[in-house]
Amino acid sequence: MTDFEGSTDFNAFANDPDFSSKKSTGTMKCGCAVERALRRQGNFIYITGAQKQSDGGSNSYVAYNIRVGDIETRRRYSEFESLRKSLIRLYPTVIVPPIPEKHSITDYAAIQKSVKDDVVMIEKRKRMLQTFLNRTLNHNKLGAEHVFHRFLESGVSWSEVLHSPPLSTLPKNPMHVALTQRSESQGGDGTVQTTSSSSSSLIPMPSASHTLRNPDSRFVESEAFTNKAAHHMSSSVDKTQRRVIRRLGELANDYAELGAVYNGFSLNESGQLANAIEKVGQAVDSSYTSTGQLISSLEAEFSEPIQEYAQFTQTIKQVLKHRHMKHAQVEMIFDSLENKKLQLESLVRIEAEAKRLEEAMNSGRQSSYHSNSYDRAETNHSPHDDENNQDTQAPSENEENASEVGNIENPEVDPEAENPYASVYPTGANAAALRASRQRSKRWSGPTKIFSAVSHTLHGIIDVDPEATRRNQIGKTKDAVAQLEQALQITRKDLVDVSADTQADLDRFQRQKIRDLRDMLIAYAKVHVKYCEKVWFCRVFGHYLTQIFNSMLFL
Amino acid sequence: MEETDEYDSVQWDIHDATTTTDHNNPLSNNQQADTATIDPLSDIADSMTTAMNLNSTFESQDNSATSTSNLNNSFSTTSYNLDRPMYNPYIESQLAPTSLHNNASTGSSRSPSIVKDRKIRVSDPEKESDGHQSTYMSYLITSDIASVRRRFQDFVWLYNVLTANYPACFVPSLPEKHRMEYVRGDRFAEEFVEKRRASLQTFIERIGRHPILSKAQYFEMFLSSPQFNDTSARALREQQETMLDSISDSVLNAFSKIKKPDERFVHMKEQLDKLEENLTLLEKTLNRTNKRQDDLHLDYKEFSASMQGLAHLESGITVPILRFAETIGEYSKLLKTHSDTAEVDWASEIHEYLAYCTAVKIVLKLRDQKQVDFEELTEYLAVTEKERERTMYPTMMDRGLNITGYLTDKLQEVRGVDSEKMRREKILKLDMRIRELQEATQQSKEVSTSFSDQVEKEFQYFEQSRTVEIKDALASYTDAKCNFFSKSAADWKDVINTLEAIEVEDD
Repeated sequence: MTDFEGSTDFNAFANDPDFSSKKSTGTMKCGCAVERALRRQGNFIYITGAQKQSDGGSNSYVAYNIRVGDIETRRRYSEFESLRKSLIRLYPTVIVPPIPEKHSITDYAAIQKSVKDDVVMIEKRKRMLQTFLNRTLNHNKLGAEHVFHRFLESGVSWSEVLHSPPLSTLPKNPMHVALTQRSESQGGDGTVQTTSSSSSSLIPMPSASHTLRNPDSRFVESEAFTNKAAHHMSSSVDKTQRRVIRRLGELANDYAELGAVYNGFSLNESGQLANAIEKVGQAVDSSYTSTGQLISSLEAEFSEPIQEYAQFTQTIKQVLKHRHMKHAQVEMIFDSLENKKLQLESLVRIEAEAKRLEEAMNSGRQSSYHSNSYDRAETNHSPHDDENNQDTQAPSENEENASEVGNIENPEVDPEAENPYASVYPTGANAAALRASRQRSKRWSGPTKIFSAVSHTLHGIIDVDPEATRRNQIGKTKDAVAQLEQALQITRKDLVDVSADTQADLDRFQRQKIRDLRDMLIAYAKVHVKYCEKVWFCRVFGHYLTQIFNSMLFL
Repeated sequence: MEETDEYDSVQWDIHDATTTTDHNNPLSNNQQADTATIDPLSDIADSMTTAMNLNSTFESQDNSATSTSNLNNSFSTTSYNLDRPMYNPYIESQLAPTSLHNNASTGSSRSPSIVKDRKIRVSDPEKESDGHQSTYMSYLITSDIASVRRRFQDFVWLYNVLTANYPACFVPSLPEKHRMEYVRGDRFAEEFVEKRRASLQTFIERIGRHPILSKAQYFEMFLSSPQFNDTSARALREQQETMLDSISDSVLNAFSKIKKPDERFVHMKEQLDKLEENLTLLEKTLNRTNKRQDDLHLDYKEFSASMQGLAHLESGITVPILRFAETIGEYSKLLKTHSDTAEVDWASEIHEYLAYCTAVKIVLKLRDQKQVDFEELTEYLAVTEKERERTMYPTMMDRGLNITGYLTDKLQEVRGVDSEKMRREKILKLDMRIRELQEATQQSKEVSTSFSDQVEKEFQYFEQSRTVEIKDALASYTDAKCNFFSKSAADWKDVINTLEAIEVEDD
């Protein structure tokens, strides 16, 4: 880990070399106009408005005006969504802030009924999208991301950003990212494609359901905590606070009615009593107004952040899942490497057996033939550096055919395999390769089965020369072992980076959460203070009543 | 605080004014002599009343009032006063002598006023046993003249004797019997007892505020007599009550419709209907709002519990979040207490006021009945006079018109009866009846008029009393509301300090 990258930057995914280098210098900026504007404007992004727009056809959408200093641009909800997805792809270890949830179809049906609800909904989205942008901006990595800056830039087509690097060159599957990048940095320019494709056919792709053999206790804890917190937030805190707000809404309606009743009552009374009752009616009317204000303040300052946090926990789960899969990949690569090694060992043993057999047969005729283990010469582990030229040349021939042989072999092995993991492997080739190797390793595990296994393997090959085929096999396996060893090394290092990054962002998130929670609770209390002080406008009203009541003493 | 001071000074002013007026009034002097021994403060209320009433109620001396002052709070004396002559439904107005005759005779132009706060308190409910079978609640009645314990039955007695003896007065209604509580057996439950105590307090305050009822011997007796619950006294009281039952029965016998509706009372009835309508609507809406507030308190409570859960999850800031949860819980409790006391008090105040309205309506009906009595008697008198006229001066016109009369005459002629003699006898009889009827009509007119006059005054008392009652209730209601909100605001402010003390690190 420390031998390759800068100590502070664990970002293994920055394909933009320019970007990476800038980051490693510590200035953390791309220097674009937007970033300069952000610097000047005290780092705050405003959503200044929203308009309904038509895309020419029958569809209309809402565009939000985003303002950074004097730079103003418009983005629609789907573009925010796309930005967020892009950021997640670019920074899988970062807890990317959430955006307001998409409306369900029923919501839409309900909203279309009332224009007022629509306005309320847009206001809410405006608030939450603005929060999203500023949370992104304040994140040490996301805020410096040029893709993010381009989102804020005026006159930039978002689809263009999507179709240009770094987003366009990002591998579809995040599990490829590290390997691709390593190959690129290690190999020459031309080899990038081939290396990545050949490695991806060999490198197992993990699934989220994969159980880790050696789970990292820190992340196990994090996950358990996140699950618990997520559950508590959504099923308890959010539910109960929503219920309070709903009840307040009903109460506000009651107040409105009650105020009207008092006012009606006062009309039928006369003199000071009428006055007093009217005042009470007015106080109740004002309760209606202040309860309404209480509700909207609670919505904006407590309810929405709570919902945001429920979404945050989802993102945390994703980030943890990403790390989990990275970890799983390492373990799986390790497994297949072990398998390959075993396979190689068996092949070598078979080769030796064959040699001995041949020797014995030869010795039957010639009585003097040495057995040797020329195979080991190839792997460089063999103490005997042998003289057999024929055999030592074989691997180089086989190497070229390695992938082809594998491909030919696969269709044969495939039908008889009942692999439970089949469906979860991302690529068919990978899955088949892995399966094939497992099949083989099973068969080779017992010495009595060796011959049948070999003969089975040989069946699939048109080539009738068993020796050539075997040598092919050995060469191919050796190659795979080498690739896997390299992959293991890369992914292990990557896992360390990913873990560190994830942990760092989790810690950052925890700090942010405490800050936000504190602010939310303070807001909750303040809103209530305001309500309590305002609701019966105690001082003014109480004073007035006292006056009335005092004068009433002289009937 | 200022309010109280001012109020006190008002009292003293009135007191001074009273002492001067009282010299012409032997009754007042007498009374002052009685009360002076108890507490110099206690006569403030009395003298205040006097000042307010000045010429109207007090100057005229009636039997009831005199007896009240002469009674000296002794039950034995009082009881003899209850022996009344034969009951005559037309002069039952005698039963409310204070109101009817006095006001009619003095013809005071000054409008009377309700009695200022006599500070009678119903408090300290206690479970008592009468020795053999049953237990009951008794309440301490503290007034300016004495401090005694009374049970609910005694209140019922007071109500009964007052309604019977002062039919033209708006006697406030008693709290409902709450049968369910008896069935369930929780009539000694704290909540029920407190509710009833408050209702009885309202009942007593209403009587105490009434210029006539508050002076009634029965009320004085109720407030002060130490022998009130002695066995002999009780028997006597029971006798009174049974006698009263028959009265009320006879009172409500006739159902004829009123012929000449009196504008004043039609208007009164309308006002009352409107008031009832308003109060009913207010009660309904208030109860709904209270129910909602009650639900809200539960919602806050659950939210508080949920925040507690969060506090335990967020180990770094457990303590401040717990404080926050506690504050919500506290707020929820305050909300509950507030709606259980202030809101419920105000709602039951309205409820009791509705009951009062019902009582008033009964009296209004009774007044209508008095008018009907008079109208019917007048009509009967007119018919009788007409008959006499006709008997004296029979004309062909009459006969032609009156076929029955003509036929009767013819029949009598046929029988050979001496029609002239019969006619004279009949005229004599009719003359006698007319005299009787004239007397009765005159009497019923007096009754009806004075009853109406009294009801008119009563309605004024009622209005004044309403102003005072609603004022008091609203004042304590708004006080409670303001207290609740300022206490809550202080609590919330408190927790803000705790929350602001949370240390946060910047990224």
